[in-house]
Amino acid sequence: MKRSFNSTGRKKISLDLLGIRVYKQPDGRRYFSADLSKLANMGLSPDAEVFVEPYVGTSMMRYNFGTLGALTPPTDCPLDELDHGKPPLFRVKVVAHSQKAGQLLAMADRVQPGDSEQETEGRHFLLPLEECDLGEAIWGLSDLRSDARPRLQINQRIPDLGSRLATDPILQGAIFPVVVKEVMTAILFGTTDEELEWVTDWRAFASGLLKEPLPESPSEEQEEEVIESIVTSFVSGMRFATTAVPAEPIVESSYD
Amino acid sequence: MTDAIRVLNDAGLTAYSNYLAALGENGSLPPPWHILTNPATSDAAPFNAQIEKAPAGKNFGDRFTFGSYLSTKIPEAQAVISRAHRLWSWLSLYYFDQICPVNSSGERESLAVPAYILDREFSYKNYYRHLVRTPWLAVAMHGDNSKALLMPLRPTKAPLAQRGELIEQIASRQHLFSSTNVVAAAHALYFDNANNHPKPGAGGSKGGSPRRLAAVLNQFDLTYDLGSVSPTVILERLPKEFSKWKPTPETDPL
Repeated sequence: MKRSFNSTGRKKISLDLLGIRVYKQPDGRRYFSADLSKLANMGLSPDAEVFVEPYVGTSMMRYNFGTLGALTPPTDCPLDELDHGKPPLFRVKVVAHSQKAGQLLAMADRVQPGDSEQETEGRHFLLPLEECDLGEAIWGLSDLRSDARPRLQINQRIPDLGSRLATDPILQGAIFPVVVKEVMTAILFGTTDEELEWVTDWRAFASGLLKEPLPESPSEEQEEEVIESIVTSFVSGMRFATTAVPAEPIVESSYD
Repeated sequence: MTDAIRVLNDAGLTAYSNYLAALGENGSLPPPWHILTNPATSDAAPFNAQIEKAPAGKNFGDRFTFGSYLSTKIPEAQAVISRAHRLWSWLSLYYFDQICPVNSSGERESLAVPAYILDREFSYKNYYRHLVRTPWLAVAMHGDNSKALLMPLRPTKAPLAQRGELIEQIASRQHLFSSTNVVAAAHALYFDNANNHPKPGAGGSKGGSPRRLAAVLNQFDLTYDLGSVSPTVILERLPKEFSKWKPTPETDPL
């Protein structure tokens, strides 16, 4: 596994310290709320300022949440000035106030908001579903460089695609093996942090498919073989083709 | 002559959009001025304000003057007004002779549609291109420091019809444009306060250029919060290539 190094001196904010939710009001406007009370556990100066920046593409907004020692979340945090069509991501910044004012002390980036419909306390879906504007594409994967759990994105213009995906073995067989391959490639070849919860979950999932632990320090060639084995085991276990073949009609014999 | 500000309704937006499409084929088509006041194509604005196309009989001399004028006429809450697509589309047609003037051949050379009509749905990369909204927003957000973004490098016949290099580099990146500190630093670098115009050469693309500034600030973003760090610190930390632009306490104090 490749590792990345942070030469800026700032701390990384763990996702489990952040509770960000996006919701819609009856008027259709999107808002977010953020529970940042656990940031105080990071041991940073209480006068450090806290900012939350939701963004989509090049559009972004910025909200001042007060200081670590006295968080003052804004009453309303609308997301009006973000590009439409894609779900927002969030940056959370802890910024030096008195000495070295403006210097980033800690940051989390590409934070995906929690989804109360798909995540409940202590229980996480391996691959949450997300409807968004994908143009002419049917499906996609969220940014695998993110610290946040990967999400299977489906085109919001296609009616009932989510429920069709849940029941149609042909759709499942066309999409899920590719997803497994891409996620495992990101984990084994990419720069994902192996201490992230979703990486641990996916590694456990892959080990379960292989019926053995993933190799600790495999060569590049071994990694390719491992990924291929994981995908093969997954496809065999799911029996996509078998499930997709219509059952033979039972022909009743007639006895004259 | 003053006119009451109005907003285009759906029929007005369609008519304006159709005109812009046709203008691309035939640059001599006259603008559909009638849709500005026709009740079938426009409605009263949700606030009362009177504006002029050419105050004191003169066209606007630069985008800063234009933005300043609009900011005195449109005093509503910034966040609400900045997304009022019907208003900005109406205003762009109202000022069409200045933002898309007739050239010496009697034709108008129009830019892409987002320069004139705002989408109903917010899209930052299209919204910042609007030739009326952006000068207003720059002045509303940055006051005099927006001069560096809005004043032309040299006198031009159609000052409202074009965007400069600095505003392209800064305004196209919302995290830079929304930072008063970044725009203050850019103003200190590239604007000559004594002579009230951008410093000569401020539109280049080499070392120390606005393009390089945007690239360097993107790197800063990893270490500093651009919304909090002071303009002085930004200027202090810029690499050597910006030395010739940095103000001295004697010439341009921050």
